[in-house]
Amino acid sequence: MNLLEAMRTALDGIAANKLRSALTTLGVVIGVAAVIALVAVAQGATARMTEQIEAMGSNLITVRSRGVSAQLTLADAEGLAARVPALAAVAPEHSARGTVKWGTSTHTTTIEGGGSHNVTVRNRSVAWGRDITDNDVQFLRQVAVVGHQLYIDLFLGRDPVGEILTVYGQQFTVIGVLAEKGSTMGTSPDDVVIIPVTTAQRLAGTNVLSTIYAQVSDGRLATAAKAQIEAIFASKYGRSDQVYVQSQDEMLEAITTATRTASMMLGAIAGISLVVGGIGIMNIMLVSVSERTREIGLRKAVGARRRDILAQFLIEALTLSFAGGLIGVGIGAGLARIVANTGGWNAVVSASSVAVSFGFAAAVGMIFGIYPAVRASRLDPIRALRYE
Amino acid sequence: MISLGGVSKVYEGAYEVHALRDVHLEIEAGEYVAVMGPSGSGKSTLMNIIGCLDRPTSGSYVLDGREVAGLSDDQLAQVRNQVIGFVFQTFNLLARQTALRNVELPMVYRGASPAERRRRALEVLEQVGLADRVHHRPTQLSGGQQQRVAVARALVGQPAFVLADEPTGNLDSRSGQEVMTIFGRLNRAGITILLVTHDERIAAHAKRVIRLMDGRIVSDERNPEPLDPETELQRLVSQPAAGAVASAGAGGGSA
Repeated sequence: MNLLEAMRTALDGIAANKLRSALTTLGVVIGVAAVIALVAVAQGATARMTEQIEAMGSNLITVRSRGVSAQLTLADAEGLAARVPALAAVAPEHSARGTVKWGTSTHTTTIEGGGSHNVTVRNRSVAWGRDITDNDVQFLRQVAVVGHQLYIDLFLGRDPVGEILTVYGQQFTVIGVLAEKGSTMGTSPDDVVIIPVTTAQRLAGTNVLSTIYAQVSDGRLATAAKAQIEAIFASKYGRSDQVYVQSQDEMLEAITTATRTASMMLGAIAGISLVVGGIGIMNIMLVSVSERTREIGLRKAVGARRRDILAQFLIEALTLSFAGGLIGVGIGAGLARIVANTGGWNAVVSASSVAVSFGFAAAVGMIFGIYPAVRASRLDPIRALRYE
Repeated sequence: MISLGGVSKVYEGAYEVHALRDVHLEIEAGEYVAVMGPSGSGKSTLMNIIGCLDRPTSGSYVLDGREVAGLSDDQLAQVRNQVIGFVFQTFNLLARQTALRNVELPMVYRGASPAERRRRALEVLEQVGLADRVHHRPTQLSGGQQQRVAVARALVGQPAFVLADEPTGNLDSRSGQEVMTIFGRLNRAGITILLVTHDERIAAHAKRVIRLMDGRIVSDERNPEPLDPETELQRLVSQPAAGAVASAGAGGGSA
């Protein structure tokens, strides 16, 4: 008997019990759909976070104070620029939430005190007007660069350059507008006002910085530069745990590791449901074999060899698991899309997750189909014909 | 064509059962043989061995010039497929398949092309008088028609002989007689028929009657005047009541 005939016979067997076959397939459908959807969501999340980290600026090292006694100052920032040759730019930042006023309108935003590099280091750019200069910082000028959000919400799309903006109760002249970056995961980099860091510190009555951003001239030097920065602060405070230094690569790596672990865990849980689905297939195939004992006996009597019967039942099991796999891929991709649409979150259905879960479903059908098929093929035709 | 030499069959179990003891039997091509015997006589065992569904414990079985006593399961399957046509008491048709597809089945396992097996199946369905029922399923056919489908299935592969195990056992006397008419016609056309029955009236159609008892052949006689199935059928049609009484004992299964 050729393969085509075996397939026809197997499909007849499935069609004989449509509801039962559908329910049997459901286990595999759920398993495969779960793998596809969960992995897609996890990978989408990874892609999103990676994108965000890269949007922060390239080859970036972030320095934050961690200990209570450690406080970052402008002197620290200047020290880093002078002592770490791998750094292309150092950007001190003092940021706080506050309300700004233009005419009678007010807007609550992030007031960021920065230097001449803060815009570029953080991967931003000035759309028109000019950036903060070293001069502005040195003379504590009251000038401001506004983000795209303020340009829209506060100035209602009118050119704000030259306008007077009230920040911390003081009058600032708007000198530039930042190009739009688009919001990422809740926080908007467009909702900001940048003023000279020295001005910000004076108005806030402090000499502390919240963060120092340092940009490495070459990504390959990031690890060495980070070690050097850590060493500088360790020697300053006598211990290494006062300042938190993190390079972008590390952040990416941490996120990749975390999401890979999550993906694998989700995949493993979904894999378990696939195995359960496989057991369901085996169960139904065993029932099917014993129900059709007489049929098997007759087929053997008229000339079916063991391998013919084996093929018939194995193809039946494989068809169930393949169908389950196909439907599962469809449902999984659909679920991923729904999550993507409702969560504003990219879900990536990768070819590899489709291949892996489909292959796993096929393997499950093969493994759990073989025992019932072997049992059927070994039936004694005499007994099978007499079976009631 | 069928040659059993000293065939014995012993079933091992809690105690040994000697189902067949040293059976010698020669059946020539074209014969019409009935095998009779009460339950437990070894009738079914003999049929299973002759039908290549089982192997003898000892002795030789030469079928169509070929020793088959020591063949493997798959080799026996091939022999059954090419040499033997089976007709069972319970028809054993596949309930979800049409008459045509049921008849094609042995040809499927022989590897015949779809066109070839369809042609052959239609031919034999015509022979058993079911040319207008080829697309019916077993549930849409009467018992007699179902058994005729089964006979067509037995014939489709042009076997050396037809082995019928109580072929009329599940049929009313008239349908049974119709099946016997077909067997009579097939035998006249040269097909060897081996009939296993415990119904004397059915056995009386055969030209040779073999009786078994306790695993041995106790008699092997020529029947000088076999019943003519067509005359019998006529008689049943004209006297339905008498016919029903005559075959009242034909309901049991083979042992």
